[in-house]
Amino acid sequence: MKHHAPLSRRRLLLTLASLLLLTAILLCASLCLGSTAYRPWQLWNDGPDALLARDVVLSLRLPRSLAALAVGGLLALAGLLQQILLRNPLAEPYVLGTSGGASVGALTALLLGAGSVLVSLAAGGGALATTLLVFALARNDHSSQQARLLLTGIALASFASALSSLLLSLAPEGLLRGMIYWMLGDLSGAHWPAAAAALLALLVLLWPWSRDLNLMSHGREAAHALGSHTLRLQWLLYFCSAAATAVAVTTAGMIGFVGLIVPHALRLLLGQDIRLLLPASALGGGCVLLAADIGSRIILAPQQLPVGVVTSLAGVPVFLWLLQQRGGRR
Amino acid sequence: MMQVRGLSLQQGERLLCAGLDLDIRPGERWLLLGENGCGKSSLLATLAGWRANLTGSITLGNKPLADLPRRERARQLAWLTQQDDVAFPLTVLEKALTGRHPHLGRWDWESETDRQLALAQLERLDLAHLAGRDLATLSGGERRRAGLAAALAQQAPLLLLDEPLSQLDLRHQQQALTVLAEEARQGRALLLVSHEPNHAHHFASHALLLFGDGRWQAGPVAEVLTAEHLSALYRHPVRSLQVDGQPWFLPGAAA
Repeated sequence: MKHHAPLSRRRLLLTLASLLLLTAILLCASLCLGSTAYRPWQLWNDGPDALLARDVVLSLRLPRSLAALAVGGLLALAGLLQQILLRNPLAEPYVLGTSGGASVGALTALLLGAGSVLVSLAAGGGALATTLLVFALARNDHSSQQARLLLTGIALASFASALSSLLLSLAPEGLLRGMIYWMLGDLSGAHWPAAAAALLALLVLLWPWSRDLNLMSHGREAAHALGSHTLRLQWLLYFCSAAATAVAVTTAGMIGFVGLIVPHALRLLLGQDIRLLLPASALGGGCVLLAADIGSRIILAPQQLPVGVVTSLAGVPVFLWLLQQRGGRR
Repeated sequence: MMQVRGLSLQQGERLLCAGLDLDIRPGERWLLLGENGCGKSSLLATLAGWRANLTGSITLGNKPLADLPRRERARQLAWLTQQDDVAFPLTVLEKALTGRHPHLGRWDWESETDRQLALAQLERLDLAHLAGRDLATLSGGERRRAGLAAALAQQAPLLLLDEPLSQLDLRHQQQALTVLAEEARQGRALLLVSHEPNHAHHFASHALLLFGDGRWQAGPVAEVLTAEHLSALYRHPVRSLQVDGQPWFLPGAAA
């Protein structure tokens, strides 16, 4: 694989424009494809089909597609931020227990018979609480690899997973199906405007700091030596990654591997500069999740698969392939 | 340039250095010597504002170090740490360009001038042909030189360098020392951690010895770097030989 010249403004804009184009193409495809044969151009026909097509395309496929774009972007962003924070390309919301915490919060709320708003709040609370717990437990980790932080996260993820299993085994028959479906991840009926707004807000908040984040990913001492406020940046990363995970999980449940695969793939394809990776992850994550969602709708049509299953099934082989490519470069 | 008064360093219960007074002036080349674990890196981290000092004061350009805005401090002082492992791929040129960070505003992009400056530092350290290579694919010595190039690209008047010559071969050690001496001639001050007293040749003007038990010794090379002092510092006999009128230090047989 070719090596990368330092990122220029021109390459940043060109790459983002290409990703936007890809996003638009996928969005069109998503509006056209589905378990029924309705297509967007039928909107402009006269006749009974136009109304039905409007229902399918505008009320079902469009919100679902936008939710996929926003949630995928949030997950990829959360993964990228946690990788910078831990200086470890394997970090992502699942590894650090952030998603597990969200899952425990949501399952508890479901078990107690709470409504959807409370379930969402509980998931968000769980994500933030786990994040803060990891940080509190491993705050004094001064090792360059921050192994303790990562191990603390993994231990908490296992703990959250055990708690989730416990909650599932305690659940009565009637609630079990809903709880399991939530854990698998589902985009239909997802509320996209909040997720999209959160994604945009996080990007606007973080991008001005992206050169500092570049330094942070190569070590806190080096970042300090070059004038970055490392403690403040660390908290910014923690807060933003927790918020992104919480919003993603409350919008669409548990969806795995987007946060690990997308930043990693983009690093291999586009280089390491956070100024590009930050917006590219947001767009790329959206594209990947949208593509997975299209797949989940057409592979076994008219039956729909949970999108979380598709991301995991497709994500792992892609990840391994990219890793092989990178191994060959050395 | 940098003034240190009454600085004490502690690692856990252990007192590393007590009441250190140090004046580093423009153009001075300081060699910092001491046993492993005697506090050389801790001292540098403290002088760079990373570790908080318990007692004493550090001023940089007549201002207390802690009161300097971070970006301003980074333009005044470069700190090369020992740690140079990288978690993510980074090319040698990108590494060198990081040194320009404190000179760029929040919305600025590295200019062609920054690029040329970074490339020039790579050229001086014999790294130009590796500019596009990933740091992880380089040898330890090449990575060390890339780190030094980044510190040089920072163009700070004071450089705190933690073992910049470790893992470098003989030619590249001499080359780096020549480059650092050039920097000093332009008025920059240097504090360089080393394990080789002979690095003082054609380079150091001053030496600072840390004994690791609180004692320290600082002053011009001619006064501080003697076989007697080095024997005490390393707790091993050190002999000096006169070559071309200059003392060279050799380890003697253990007593």
